[in-house]
This record gives sequence, structure tokens and C-alpha cells, in this order.
Amino acid sequence: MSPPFQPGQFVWCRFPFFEAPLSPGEKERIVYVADIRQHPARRVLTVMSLYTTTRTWDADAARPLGIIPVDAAAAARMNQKPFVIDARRIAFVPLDEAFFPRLRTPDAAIVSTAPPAFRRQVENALARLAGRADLVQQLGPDMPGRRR
Amino acid sequence: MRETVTLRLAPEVIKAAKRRAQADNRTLTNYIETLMIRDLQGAATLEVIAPPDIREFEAVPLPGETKAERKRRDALFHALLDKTGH
Repeated sequence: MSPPFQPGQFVWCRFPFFEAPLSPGEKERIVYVADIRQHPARRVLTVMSLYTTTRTWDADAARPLGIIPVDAAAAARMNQKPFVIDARRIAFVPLDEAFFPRLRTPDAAIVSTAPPAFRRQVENALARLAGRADLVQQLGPDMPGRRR
Repeated sequence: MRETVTLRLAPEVIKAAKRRAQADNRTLTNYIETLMIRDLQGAATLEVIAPPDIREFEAVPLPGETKAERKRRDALFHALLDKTGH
């Protein structure tokens, strides 16, 4: 099974809430695809998704590690309104229609593809987080074929 | 002067929080206050939602990706999970 998305793309996804990690979020939002991985035995795919929000970041407020604001010009080049990537919120979600309702028409699910420089910026932010943050990990969502 | 507040929380959350506080040899109040201060200061805290067997997942080869780039992708993936005990 080849993935319909690529790392570096923005796609529509029902990103799960931390409080309910096994269930798709209530509404679709745009996420940044940081990685796509496959289980070698079960052949299922998981999408490493980063949370994004159109809520603007106050320029005067301290910007925590992992917050990547995207201004109007840069966002327009990526077919979006100004937004913020919160790389501190990561979900590995199964590539299925519950989490990606537009999966049957992947073209409709893909919002845009980030330029290489932007991808590197996100990767660097993730690397800094991996080195410095206190990691809080929560189980879920489950994958098809895995017994609990 | 410290203020007293009443919180209504899910019993399982309180139970887990008490266990964590006890393990850190601190009071529940101190544990909650520390979390709040850290959040208000904008500390870099990761929230990772992942299945328990996430480390078994392998990187899907990408068109045009070099071995070095894939190695870097794998390294970042494992670095992010390293602190989870998986």
C-alpha cells in the first residue's frame, strides 16, 4: 500500500485530542505530515501528524520551543490563511477514513506541499524538542490487526 | 497569602496524579501547581499520541530520498520516542 500523502504536505485530518487519543477529533483540521511509517507485518500505515491552528500567535508573547508561526505571505504560498504549527503536539494516526475522511479522494485531502526550506525548519524544531523537552506520552490510537 | 480553590476532576485522573505526586515525593497540590507554572511559562512539553508498538513501524521510502535523508528521518523518529520507554 503506497501512501496517498507525503511528508511535508498539509492535509485534512481529524486530529485526536490528547484527552481521547483513541478517537478521531470532532472536526477536521489541517495537519502537517512529518513522517509516514508502515508496520512490516501488518502492512498498516501511520501518519506522524503535527497540530496546526489558525489562531495567531501574539508577537509579544514568549514563543515556546516547537511553535512555528507562519505569516500571511508564507501561508498564502501554501494555500492557507496565517497559521501556527505546534510541533509539541504530535499524533501518529492510522491512515484510514476515520481519521482522514477525504482519503478516497486524496487530492481533496491535500491542502498544499511545504517548500524544502520550510520542511527543514520543522525538522529542526522537532530535533530541538527531542533533545530538550519533557516527553509526555499517551497510548493510542489503535491500529487494525493489533490485539490489545 | 495562598488561595484555596475547589477542582472537579475525573476520579481516574486524581488517582493517577496522586500516584505521580507520591512517586516524586511531593504533595498533590505542589504537583498540580508545578504543572500549571510550567504551562504558563510556555515550557516545551511534547504531547505524543502513538500506538504502543509505534517503534515497530518502519519509514516508508520516499521518492528521491537519499539513504542519508532516510537515516535522518529515522533518527528523528526514534529521538522523539526515546523518552517514552518504548
